[in-house]
This record gives sequence, structure tokens and C-alpha cells, in this order.
Amino acid sequence: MSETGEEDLVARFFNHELSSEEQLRLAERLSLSPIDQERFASFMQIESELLRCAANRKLAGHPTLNAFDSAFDDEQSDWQYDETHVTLNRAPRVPKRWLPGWWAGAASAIAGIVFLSFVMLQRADSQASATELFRKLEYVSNQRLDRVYKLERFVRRGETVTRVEGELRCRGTDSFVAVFPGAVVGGGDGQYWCVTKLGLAFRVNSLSEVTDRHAQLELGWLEALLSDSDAGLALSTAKVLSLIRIHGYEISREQGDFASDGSGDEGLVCRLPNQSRLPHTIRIRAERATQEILSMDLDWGAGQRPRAADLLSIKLSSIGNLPAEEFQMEHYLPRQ
Amino acid sequence: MGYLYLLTGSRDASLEVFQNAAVVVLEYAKLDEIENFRAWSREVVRRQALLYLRKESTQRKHCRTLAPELIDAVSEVFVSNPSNIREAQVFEDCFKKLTENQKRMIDLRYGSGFSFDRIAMIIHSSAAAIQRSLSRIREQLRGCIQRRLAEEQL
Repeated sequence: MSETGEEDLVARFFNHELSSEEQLRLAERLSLSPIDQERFASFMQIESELLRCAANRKLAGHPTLNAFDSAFDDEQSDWQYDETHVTLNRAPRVPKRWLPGWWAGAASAIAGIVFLSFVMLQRADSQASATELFRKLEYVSNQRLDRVYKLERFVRRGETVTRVEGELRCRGTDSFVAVFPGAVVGGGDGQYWCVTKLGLAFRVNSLSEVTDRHAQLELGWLEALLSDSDAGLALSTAKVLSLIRIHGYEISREQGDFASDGSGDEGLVCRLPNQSRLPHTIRIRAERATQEILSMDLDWGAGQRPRAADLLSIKLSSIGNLPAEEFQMEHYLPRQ
Repeated sequence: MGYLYLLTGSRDASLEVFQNAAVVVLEYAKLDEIENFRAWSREVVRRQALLYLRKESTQRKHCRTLAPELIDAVSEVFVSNPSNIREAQVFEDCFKKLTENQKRMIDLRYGSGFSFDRIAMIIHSSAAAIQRSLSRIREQLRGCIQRRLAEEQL
């Protein structure tokens, strides 16, 4: 088989370009020629590595995030969110233009207009910057959830997966409780199962047995939720972010704390006045470099909810300094 | 994953099938001692993929159709050609040599699962040009991997 041009069926197959007849021709060649088989297998491996590589880059954040930014910039429509298909209206972009200056007699009027334009531009830019930051926070949060949702499905189907002293075990349980960014936690009968994002699954009887810092944080969060009889209060970061988006909270930026080296955090304040069933103010702090959410403060307003006091300051602690390896389903397959 | 991706044409579908296969593998692996685990698990993946394609063809969710003969031939290649770990390691180095534009295209195609048309719209090109570019990237990577492996053997 020639390796270039129209006859390159293998390359064209990977581009999804083959007609029915060409597919049959390729099938015949693959069944007859070991050389073609080898070449096909080589392409298949590259396809696999490309998928893996792109997934890792996406999880690492920035390159794909930038690509997403470009994608959003190129689209004329509003931002689309795959998870719930809800749109968030982008703040209108005011074109930056210089005002003509030949009306000398109307200089003061022009100065006024320029000033007003400047104020409006600043406001629009500030609004755009706030929504952009919000979008990035949500993106990072969803990236974590992506991995966790997949794991959740996996755990639901295969019930609980535990790795005990290097051995993988599945065991059934109906007490799967909750999924949080970065970790899957199942609980019941005073026991918890944790699957960290690194694919380490373990069972514990109490929080004191957990030494993994990340799991501690997640379990602490879970316990706080379980102790609350109102299931509706169970809000994860992703749920809170969805809440802000779906209900059209007004989002603005809040002054961050910066260290001399430029590191630090930044914040958003999301407001929705005149709402009795939702928190009217949500404050989010995020790490500047990674856009990782550090904390969320939900203000429900005095006396509006029976447990409002408990939720006045929900601290969803950051993921912390976990090793850099990314979660992959392959980790669950026992090695030969 | 490459095998699943090229059969289903969808990243999400590939993950779905992979997870189904993983569940089957875990379920059965705990029951019996499997002699040739690698070959057996590949066969599980193959069957899950075929099961998925059969379902999809009846539901007509995905319009991409493959000739049954080709599916068999591809599956045969998949089962009889184990992935090469050294190739995977070399791939990393070769990937780093790609230009930023090429990496971006890969991110959009493989990371985000965008169609050729959508990628074309984003980077102001045509769908055909994107297809050609991706084809060239694959060839470039393949050539790089082969060169590196050949150098190691010398």
C-alpha cells in the first residue's frame, strides 16, 4: 500500500474519509498483508497516544483553556456550557474607538462623552473580566468533576472498588453517598470508602484513620452534609457554580490578596437580591495561578433558612499539594 | 483507547465502552484466575466495542458507519498487536517537537472532540485543510517514533 496520496487508505481511514468501497478494500488488505497490519497498528497506537496526550494537556489546564477561550471568542453566540446546556449571556463588548476631535467648540462636550465612554468601558471590561474569571473557575471545577463523574459511573456500576494492599476488590454496597471534586466518597454503617483522584481507593471507619489530606477535607465536607437533615443543603462547588450561572447572579470581582511575587488569590462576589430560597450573596476565593477554588461563602440572609448559620461560611478547602499525576481509568485495571 | 476511538469516532463513546469493558474485566477477574490476562482483557474490550456499535447502529445515534468486514479486520489488528510501551514513551518526545499550532489542533480535535468543521471555524481554515494537517501530524509522529526506535536499535 502506498503511504501517500489517495491510495493511502490507512491515513484516510483515520481521517474518517473512506467510502464504503474503500472500507472493504482496506479490510481486505488488512486481512492479507502483515505490513499493512503493522502500519495500521502503529497508527492506532499514535491515535491512542494523541488521545491520552490531549486529555493530559486538557487536565493540565492552560493550553486547552486558551483554545477554549479562542473558541468562545470566535463564536458569535453566547457561551455554551455542555454540562447543562445553559447559556450565560456575555457582557456586551463596547468597541474601543477614538472620538473625532475637530469640533473644537464642543471640546467640553466631547470631554464629557469621552469620560462617560471611559467609565462605561471600564465597567464593561470589569464585568467581562468577572464573568471570564467565573467561567475559568467553572471550567477548572468541571474538569475535576469530569474525572469524578466518570469514576462515579464506574463505581455505581461496579459497586465499590477498593484497593487493599495493592489488590483490587469490588464489593457491593447500596450506600453510595456523594461525589465531590477530586474524590469519590461512599459511606454507610459508619464506614467510608474513598477513591482519590490518583485512583487510590480505601475503606475507613472514621475520619481519624484517613491520613490523605485531600480525603480528609472531602470527608469532613461529607460529614458536615450528612449531619444536616435537609438534603437540599448539599451543595458542592460545582453545584454552587451552576446555581450562580443558572439563576443569573450578578458577578463582580473583588480585590484579591497578592504577595510580592505576584502569587495570591482573587475573588468574585455574586449577588442575587430578593431571593428567599437561594443565597443572596456568594463570595468565591480562588488561587490566582491555578484558578482552583479556595473557599466559598454563602450568605443566605438572616432568618431565611433554619440552618443558615451553619452555611454562612462553608469552606471548601483547596485541593492542596497533591502529586502531579492525573487520574486515569487505566489505574483501575490490574497490571499483569 | 485509539482502537475504540477509531471505531466509534467519538471520545465520549470511547470512554463509555472502555468503562464498560473495565467493569466486565474487574467483575470477572475477581472470580477466576485468568491465564493470559492481557489477551483476555483485549478481547473483552473488542466485544464491548462491537456490542456498542451494534446498539448504536440500531439507534442511529451516530451517523458514522463502518463496514462489518472492516470492523472485523481492525479488531483483528487490535487483538493481535499489543501496544508497544517503548513506542508510547518515545511518543512523548516526538509530541514535544510539534509546533504550537499543531498541538493546538490536537487539543481541539482529541482533547475537546471538536469536529473538523468546528476546528476550521476556530482557526480560520477549511475542514479539508484540518484533515490534511492532522494526517500530516500523524505521519510526522509515526516517522519520528520509527526513527527514534531505529536509532536505539543501532
